[in-house]
Order: sequence, then structure tokens, then C-alpha cells
Amino acid sequence: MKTVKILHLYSQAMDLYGDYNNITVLCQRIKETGNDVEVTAPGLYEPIELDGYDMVYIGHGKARNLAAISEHFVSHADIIKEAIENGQVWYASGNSRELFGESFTSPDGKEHEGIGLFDYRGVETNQVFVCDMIGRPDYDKDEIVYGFANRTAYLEGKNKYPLFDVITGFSDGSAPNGLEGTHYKNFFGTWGIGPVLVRNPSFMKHILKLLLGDDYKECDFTLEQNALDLVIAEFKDKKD
Amino acid sequence: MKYAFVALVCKMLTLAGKILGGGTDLPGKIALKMYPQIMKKLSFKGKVIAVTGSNGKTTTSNLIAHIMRESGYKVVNNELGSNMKSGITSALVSAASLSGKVKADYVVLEVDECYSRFIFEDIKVDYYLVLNLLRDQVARNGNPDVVFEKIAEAISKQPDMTLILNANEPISMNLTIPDRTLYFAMERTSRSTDECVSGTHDCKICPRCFHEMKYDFYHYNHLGQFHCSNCDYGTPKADFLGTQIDFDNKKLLINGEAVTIPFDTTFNMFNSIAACAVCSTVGITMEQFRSGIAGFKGAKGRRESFSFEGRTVNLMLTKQNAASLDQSISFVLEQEGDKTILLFVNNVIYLDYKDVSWLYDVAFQRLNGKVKNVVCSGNRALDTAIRLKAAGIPEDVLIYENDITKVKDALRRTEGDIYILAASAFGDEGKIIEELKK
Ligand SMILES: [Zn+2]
Repeated sequence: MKTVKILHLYSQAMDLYGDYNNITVLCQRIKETGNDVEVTAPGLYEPIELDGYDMVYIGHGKARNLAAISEHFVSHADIIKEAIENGQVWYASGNSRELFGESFTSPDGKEHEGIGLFDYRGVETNQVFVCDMIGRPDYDKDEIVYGFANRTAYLEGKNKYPLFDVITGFSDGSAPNGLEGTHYKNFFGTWGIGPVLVRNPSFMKHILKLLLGDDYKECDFTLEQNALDLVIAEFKDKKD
Repeated sequence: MKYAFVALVCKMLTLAGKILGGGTDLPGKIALKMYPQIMKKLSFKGKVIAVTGSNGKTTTSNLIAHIMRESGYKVVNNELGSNMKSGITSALVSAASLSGKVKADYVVLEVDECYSRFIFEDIKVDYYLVLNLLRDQVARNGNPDVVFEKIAEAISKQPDMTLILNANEPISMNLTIPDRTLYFAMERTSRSTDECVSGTHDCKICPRCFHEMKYDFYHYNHLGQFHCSNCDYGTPKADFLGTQIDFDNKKLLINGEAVTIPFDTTFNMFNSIAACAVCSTVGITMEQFRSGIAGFKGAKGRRESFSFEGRTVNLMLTKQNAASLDQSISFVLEQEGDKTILLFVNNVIYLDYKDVSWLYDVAFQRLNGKVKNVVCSGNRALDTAIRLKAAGIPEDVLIYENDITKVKDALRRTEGDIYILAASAFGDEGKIIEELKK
């Protein structure tokens, strides 16, 4: 039995659209495999300590909150980049992905630094953009994942490490370009907000596999797979 | 001359709409097409009051208009659901003379949060009541910060307008303009909690300095008595304060004066205090307020009940708004007897999004052990069941049925009074009622 240690960064500031339920359900799944899990949510602006954690999670937040926490995050750039290069599992949803690029703009037009792990740049529009997406994940091109974006920013620049080949729907950029998300080593980023891991069994299984090897086979994903199949079928109905 | 002609068309269409039962938006839409600047031609004899917020704007604006009418004043207001520019144009132009004069003593407008700025461009507004900002219909509105910016833009167009803000709600209270702002608030009630029990908390950090926000107590979601851990932002002394809130007897004191109201929910206690703030500010006496609110019937159709095979069915409609659904759950939990909940969740209708993320902002875990069954229906039934599973609702309590014609059978496998929590974007809930009444 293993105790999986998860670090949930900026849980107070980056907390839109029920995102934390990805962690809640991931914990439920880990327990179903017979293993244990501990989630740590440090206080706002406390120093970030990454050693000893199996996974780090950051959710989607209000644009002004993102700008407010970015300086603190970037002050830890060296240890964050080192941890990701060394294969720590990271999951960044929505606009938190902007922190990992070169820079991003906030609603007041100011430019903020990112940690520069990826060479994209975040652009704030102050306009709400919502869109569905289904795409094939790079970890298994036979699978289809559903995501929903609800954002006011987009990423500019070439997507060198895409997570999804988009079948239909949003991309990282201001216009669809067939690619969405980031998958680099064990870092996963997507504009999909809310229960992405909960609603996509293949994605949940992939994360569980990285954390616990084959133990994920203990979990039953029948309901989740049936629900996802219905969603995907609705896209097909629309096309016909 | 052009105004008179377009106004006449608008008035005739409004009249035709009333007879034929059409929508109230259409006449305004056509009038705006013919004459985009039409609202600029209006002039007002009395005071103009605009009401907005994520929750309660329909009830509160209707309540204010009702109290004013009961007090003997001539009032113009817009009807339920017509709170965007076209609906407001319909209401004002059809009430105005052919020279554009609105002769009412008071104009009370329910205004959509995101559209205030387009309306405030054209007409002078004297008072602006902002009830609250919470995440609401997120597929349309994004998050409260986005809405905040749009309201701030609206306010910037009205340099003389008085703001009436909620001192228990830190997001919209941050719209404060010194010397032009009045506050309303409610003291701790029997339903207040030390911790946030709702599924969403939209203001864990201070909107001014971005440090942790502290709460002495919560009314619901992030509304409560707050103070920042770092700067001096916090609940100020209110100009209109509700105290001794008595939900059972529907009574409270507002600035020390006893008032009986036709409501028993936290939402509506707030709405009543806010209505009192507006009425008092524009010159309605406390006596008039008291007798006006006593006879208010409320917004129709939000809560309805009927019978299904000998069981009572309570219909509770919400928009895709987590706070409203949380309040509906609170209401259900307060009722006696065995209960079954029927959730009806569809795609976000107008663009068919398959998103249910907003359900993950609702504190469904509170249903655990308190209800016999939860039936999930609508085209997102399975996704709703997955959400409830995540909230720890046991699988033997959960039933899901995405085929609407089979919902009756699903309900026959459950026990107790039925509470339908119908959450769809624009009125699709009619289908489930039709099915049950068949
Ligand atoms: Zn502060």
C-alpha cells in the first residue's frame, strides 16, 4: 500500500468551476485501489515546497487572482522546472497554464512573467469565451476526451507539446488550430475546466497509472464511460 | 418626429403582444433596429432606479415597484425576464408619451448585470441597487470578476448616481464610490454558519489586496460579515440593517422598526432589506413600506406544487446557478417527512454545451443520509449521477434516467414527497412537468 501525496497550490485563489473535484474524485479513486492519499493545500503566499509530493495540482481562477499570485509562483521557477523535468506529475487547468509560459497579460493590460517552461504567452481578452471540445489524447489516440472551456484568455505561440488532437472545438489559441493542451513529461495542462478527470475515464486512468502503476485496474469506470459515450454520440449526431 | 413614429410602432406592437401573448422583448428590439438612439430621446419626470445582481433582482425590483404603487405612486417597470436593452426599451417607450416623456413618479428597472452599461449610456439613472455578485450561469457570464468589470463600466457612465450596495457581499461592495454609496446588511441569523456550507465561495481572497479574507459568519455562499486579513476592507456600518431575523414568523427589524414580510428565506430577507433601503432613500415612509410589502405576492412560477400518484410534487426552478440550487437544497432539508429529489439537468440550451461543471459548485453532500432517493434526469442525467457520486451519495440512493418518458417509472421506485430541482437555461423544465402530469 502506498500513500499518494498531492499538493494543491493556490486552492484559495484558483478555485473556479468546481475544479477541485478533480482532486476529490482522484482521492476517491486512489482509495478504491486500496491505497491511501493525502492532500496538502498550503496557505496563500507560503513558500512552495515540492519535495515528497507525487502530484501537484493548480486550478482555473479569476484573471486578477492569477495576476496576484504569479509573482509568488515565479519566485519558485527553478524548483518547479526542476520537478517537472524530473517527472513529477503536474495537472494545471484553465488559465493557470499561463503561469508556465513566457509571460501573460492581466485584465488591466499589465504584463506578468511566467516561469518560462513553455514558450507560449497568455493573452487576456476580458471577454468570456465558452466552447465544447472533443479530442484524442496523445497518451492513447484510440480514446476520446471531452472538455469545456470557459475562459477570458488564450495562449499565443506554437503548441510544441499538445495533449489533444482536437476533433471538434477549442484550441489553446484564439482560433481553433487542431491542437489543445500541453503534455510534457508528466505535466498535463488543458483549457478544459471543471471535472475533466472525473468525466474522462481514460485521463483518470492515465494519471492513476502514473501514480500507482497497474492498481487502477481495481476501479470501475462503467458509469463514467457510458456517460462519456453519450456525450461523444451527441457530437456525432450533430455532424450527421 | 422620428421618435414619435417609432414609439407609436413600439406601442402598437406592445399592445398586440399583450393581446396575442407575445414576448415583451420584440417591440423594443424592432424599435432599436429602426432607431438605435431611441432611449436617448426619453425624459423622466420622476426618479429612475435600476436593480441588478446575480440573485434576487426580479423579486426585489417587483417588490419595490409594488410597494411604490401601493403607496399611491405611478410606477413604470419592466416585466419578468425582459431585463436586457430590448425589454427595457419596450417597457419605457410604451409607457412614454409620443414626445418621449415618461410621466411616472418612479421608474424601477430590473437590469441584467452584463447589460447595465448599454442602458446607462442612454438614460440617466438616479439609484443603482446591486444586490450581490456570485457565479451565475457561468457559461454565459464567466465569473463574478468579469461581471464586476461590466457593472463598474456602467457606473462610470453615471457620475451623479447613488449606489446602494450589499455590505455583506465583498465582490459587489468593492464597487463603492465614497460619498455616493449607501449600504444594506443583515446581522447574524439562526441560519448563519461559522464556516461556508455552500458548494461555492467566490471570495476567499480580498478583491482589493488579494490576501486571505476572513468571515465572522456566513449567510450563504460568500455572503456574510467579512474583513480582510491584510487591508482595511470589511463589512462597514450599514445604513439599512436587518436585525432579529425571525424566519418562522417572517419578521425582522430594519433599522429597529418591525416589519412582517411574505417570505421565509435568507435570499428574500436580503431582498426585503434591499427594497427597504431603496424605498426609504427615495422618500417612501416606513409605514408605506410596511403595508406595501405585507401584500406582495412574489414572483410567480418559481415554486409550484402538484400531485403525482398521491405524492406531493414540489417544483423548484433555478437558473444554472449554484447558489440558487444550494438554497433549494437547504429548503428541501428543512421540510418534514421522507423525500425524493428529482434533478432535471439539460445541456446549456442555447448552444447545446454538454458542460455540467456548475453542478460541481453545489454542495450536494448535504443530501447524504437525508433523502430516500435522488433521481437524475434530463439529457445530462448520467453526468449528474457522476457528480452526485463524487459528493458521496451512495449508489443505491441514486437513480438515473436520461429518457424523459421513463422518468415516471423511475419515480415509482422511490419514496416520499418529490422535490423537482429543475435547472435548465431557459424554461425547458416544462417537459418534465408535462410528462409527470400526463
Ligand atoms: Zn485586503
